[in-house]
Amino acid sequence: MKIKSILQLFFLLSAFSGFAQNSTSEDSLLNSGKKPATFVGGYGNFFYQYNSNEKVSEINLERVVLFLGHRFNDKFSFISEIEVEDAKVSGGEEGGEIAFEQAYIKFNVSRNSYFTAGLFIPRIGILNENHLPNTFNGNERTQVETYIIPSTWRELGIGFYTQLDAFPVDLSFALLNGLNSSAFEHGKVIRGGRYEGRNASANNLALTGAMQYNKNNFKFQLSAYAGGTVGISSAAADTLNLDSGPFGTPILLAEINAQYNINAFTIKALAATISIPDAEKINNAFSNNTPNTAYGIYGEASYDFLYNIKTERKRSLLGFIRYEIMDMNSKIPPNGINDPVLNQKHIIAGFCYLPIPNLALKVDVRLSNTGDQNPVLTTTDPSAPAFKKDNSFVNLGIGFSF
Amino acid sequence: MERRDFIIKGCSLCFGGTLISVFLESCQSIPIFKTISQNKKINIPLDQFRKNNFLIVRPENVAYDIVVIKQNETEYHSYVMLCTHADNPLRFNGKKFYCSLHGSIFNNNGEVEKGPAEKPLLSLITQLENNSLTIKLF
Repeated sequence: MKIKSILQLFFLLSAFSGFAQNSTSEDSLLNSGKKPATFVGGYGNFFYQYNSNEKVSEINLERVVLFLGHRFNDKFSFISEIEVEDAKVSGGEEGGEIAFEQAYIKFNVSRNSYFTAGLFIPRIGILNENHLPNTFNGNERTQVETYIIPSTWRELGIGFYTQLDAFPVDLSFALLNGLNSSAFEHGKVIRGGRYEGRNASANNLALTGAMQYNKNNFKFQLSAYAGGTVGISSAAADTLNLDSGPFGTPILLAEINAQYNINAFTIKALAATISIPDAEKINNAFSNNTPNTAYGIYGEASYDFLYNIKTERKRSLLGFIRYEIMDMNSKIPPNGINDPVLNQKHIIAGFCYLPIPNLALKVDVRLSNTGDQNPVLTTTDPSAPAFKKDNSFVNLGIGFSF
Repeated sequence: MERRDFIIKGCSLCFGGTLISVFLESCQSIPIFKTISQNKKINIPLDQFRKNNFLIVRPENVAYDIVVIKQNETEYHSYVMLCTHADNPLRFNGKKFYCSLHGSIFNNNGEVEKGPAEKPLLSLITQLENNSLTIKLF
């Protein structure tokens, strides 16, 4: 019922908006951008996955996201994305999610600089900001940008984005709410600690910044995040022996990525690391086996086999291979339990056919390798398949955006 | 970790990033031509293309930048630097146009390479007369 109501709202809004892409009409270029306009778009994907170890397959409408934006005038806009994950949400049942991925006010300071205020996705990594399924290879988002950089990572706050004049450099900065270390989960590093806009603690804060260099065929980015993870009162924090306040019990995340494209050939690489200096204190307070450090690296090469074939509509057939390594507990505190399964390697290879730039048909295989199981962390479920360090996944799917 | 150590490390990170940014800035530059449109036209001297085969044109009385790309000695194409998906300003890197809002990419012919945008960039009539270009703003 909730989903239906939200969808109805979006379609009603779009119907009344008179929206069309390319609202920059020929007769009003001088005034373009000053008039109110409403924008609607969206993206989504569904895919089939076969897990060779468990010998089970699954097909899922992973997500459908609707964009809704409105420009009030040349200074102020509202931008939003609302997402339905796993097709439906039913009362009392596990799974599925309805959530705002973004909902913020954009204030243009100049033609190349703007502030954001609200729920938005900071510029960290590649996929976090640009996560539409037709813009990346493979059915699954990269493992590194799922578990080390917990995409799609959005929080509440204010941000500033600018393109430097005369130089091919974009900068962004944001002040956001921090994370919740009591919700960190074993095997997911900081992913569970995101508030994502819901009743976030404003006692603890985070700062993030990114510098992006983009010239000719080369794109390079550095980004960093530093924030507190304890938003409870100082009295409650004291009883747990944690540091509260804006940057109490901090985490630090640093990321670097580079992309190079020449004609049909593209390579990209990303490295990210998380440091949680007070992981021991977090474990003492919440027993969630938080690591001191975690890291992930990947490299990907792709080739467009249709690049030189000129057609009326742009088509692409991308063959790609990606190698990812990550260790979600590369360093653990004295009270942590090492889990070699979190030390992982993945090779992903496949094809992505785009008959138009907005639609991607994907087929790929992911070969995974992990360390041994730690018996201390093993559950004794008799129905669980025997643990294997190697696994493979076959993925077929479709992604779209508009 | 002591708060003081945290602040020192955070500041060091920012300082390092800024240094790298400044270093990169010094390596490359983007040609920008600031002007004013008159009678819905913009005139650009051809010598602006001596060093680069493209030029960002910034008319003060127009809300958005325009990029002019030199195809050859007699052919120039002009595009409005706005994403056709939601009117967000684009970054042109000399080869392609990038939109940071939803990730659309356009090639240097203004065609969509990656959605969500579906329509090509708005192109403007550009005429070569003597030693200057004239861009018509409709």
